[in-house]
Amino acid sequence: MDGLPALLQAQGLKAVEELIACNEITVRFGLYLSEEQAQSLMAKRMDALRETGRVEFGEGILKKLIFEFCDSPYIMQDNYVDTLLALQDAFYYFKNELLEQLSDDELLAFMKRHFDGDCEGSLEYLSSSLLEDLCRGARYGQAWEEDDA
Amino acid sequence: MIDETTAISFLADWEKEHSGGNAAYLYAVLQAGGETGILSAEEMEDLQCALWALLAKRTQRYTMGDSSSVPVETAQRLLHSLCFCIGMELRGSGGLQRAARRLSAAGISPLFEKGRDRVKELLRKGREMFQVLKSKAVPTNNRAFADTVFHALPAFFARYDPDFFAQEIPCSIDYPIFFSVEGMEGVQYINEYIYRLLLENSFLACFDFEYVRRLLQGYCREPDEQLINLFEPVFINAVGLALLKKDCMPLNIQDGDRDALLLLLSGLNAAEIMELVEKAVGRVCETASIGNDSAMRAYCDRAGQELSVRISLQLKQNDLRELFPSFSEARRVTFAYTDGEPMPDEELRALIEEMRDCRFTSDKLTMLTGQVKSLRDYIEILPECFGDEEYVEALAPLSEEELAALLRLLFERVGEWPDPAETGWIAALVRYIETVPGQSRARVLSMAGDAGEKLR
Repeated sequence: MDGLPALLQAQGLKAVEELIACNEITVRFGLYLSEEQAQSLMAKRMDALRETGRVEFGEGILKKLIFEFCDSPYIMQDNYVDTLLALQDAFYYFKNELLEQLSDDELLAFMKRHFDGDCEGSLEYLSSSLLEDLCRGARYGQAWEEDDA
Repeated sequence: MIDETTAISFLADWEKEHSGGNAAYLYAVLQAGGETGILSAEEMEDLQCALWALLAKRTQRYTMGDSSSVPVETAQRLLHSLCFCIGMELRGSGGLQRAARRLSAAGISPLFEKGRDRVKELLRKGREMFQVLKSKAVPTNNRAFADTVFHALPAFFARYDPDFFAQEIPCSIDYPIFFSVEGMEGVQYINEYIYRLLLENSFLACFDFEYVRRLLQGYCREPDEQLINLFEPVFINAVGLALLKKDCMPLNIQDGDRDALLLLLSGLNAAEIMELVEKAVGRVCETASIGNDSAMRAYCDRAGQELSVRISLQLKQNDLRELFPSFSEARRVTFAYTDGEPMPDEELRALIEEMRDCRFTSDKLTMLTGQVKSLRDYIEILPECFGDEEYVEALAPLSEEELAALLRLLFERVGEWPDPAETGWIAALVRYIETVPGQSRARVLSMAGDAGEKLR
């Protein structure tokens, strides 16, 4: 529809405030976002959505990403924003590649488990190997659930 | 016959008010509201935000809260569905400006809810009409008809999603109806399609289906495999016979009938033809006992108008054969041609050498008509002894029967006719056939059988 781009632009920037509000929780793990960083994350979120051809409503996935990953031993304040950006990009990309077969929470849980587990904090390994395997499984109808053991 | 109120109606106000789909209608309402000041800039903005909020809500419902984002294509389909439902509710408000006032007063969400209820009601009515169609479908073996009625339409009712994708038609409708449905989407399209198909089906059911089958065999080759509308030849021939004040039920129009039709209609202007056809349509409806069915009558009247236009166009070519088909056995003229004895090879080679040495075409033609008794020799001589500009003169002495036999003989050898624009004597023959006057050409092509069919 022609009206959709205009409607997309009408989406508010309330989400920036909500990201900053996450600091109340994340500061316990030594992680903190400045207003500038939050704005940058939101701007990159729009870029990621555009690049992956997706539309998002409401607060977006960033808040959930922050809460899911804030207790990871592999995320420090120094790499906090960069990691969030990479995770956000990977999330939208693989959401598409998984053909909508996994819910947000399921995908986030998978990413977190492997990021902290066999990936040992390596985003490259997570994206290029494990998530690709997951997508292949989804395309060919294999069960994606794994043994926690 | 079906209850008229179950359908949107063939003669609905649809086209009068706005010929586009429901979503396009909503945009037209917004535009008209903005231009006339019925909707202020603030209201327009509020409506956009309300639409956005509703889209977010519907998307969340669609993903069942599992996903905060969806592909753009999915969002577009969901938005289209919202606009389709709102547009459906606004349609029939009495024009764009009244619809804009209603939009302003009622708001986006309530209109969407009402529109969606209408969609579901239409779906219920569509299922009812479909059951009638399925139970009364004519016993045709036409593949497109059967696929559409017994596979595509059930698939539509099984897959259609009025809650999220109300504008979509999740099936493949192959069978072409006489008046195709334009500008409609989703269940509106399907209901209107079924409604028109029901009318056509009821019309066909008035005739002995054996006659219908024989007519279709004459109408085209392998009618069961073709994407053809069954109503069209039946209606046209019924009206053709009614024009001649003959019984329309047997459906067969023979050469004599076509000549009589040509005589009757030639020289009449478009309005006079339309008047005659209208009366003939009335006689057909009476004979078929459908005169009291107003919806059927309206459909036939409109088909009659279409037929009048086609008659006027065909009369310019002075040939109604393409319009009023005959039963298959009546159309194919039985024809047997006995070719003369071919020359011995040496004699033929000598003749070819001699003709090649001739300076004038007239000398070659004298030798051709005087010495050549077989079409098989004719085929050998023509490309060897005549040039591009001489072929017409070499073909002109052939009678209709000889031309037909030549076409048959050649078609057996080449299998396919060349493009008339090509060079060579066979392409020249194809061009020559096109120049043969109407009735004579029709006879030649008819006698030539399959070879002639390929040149029609």
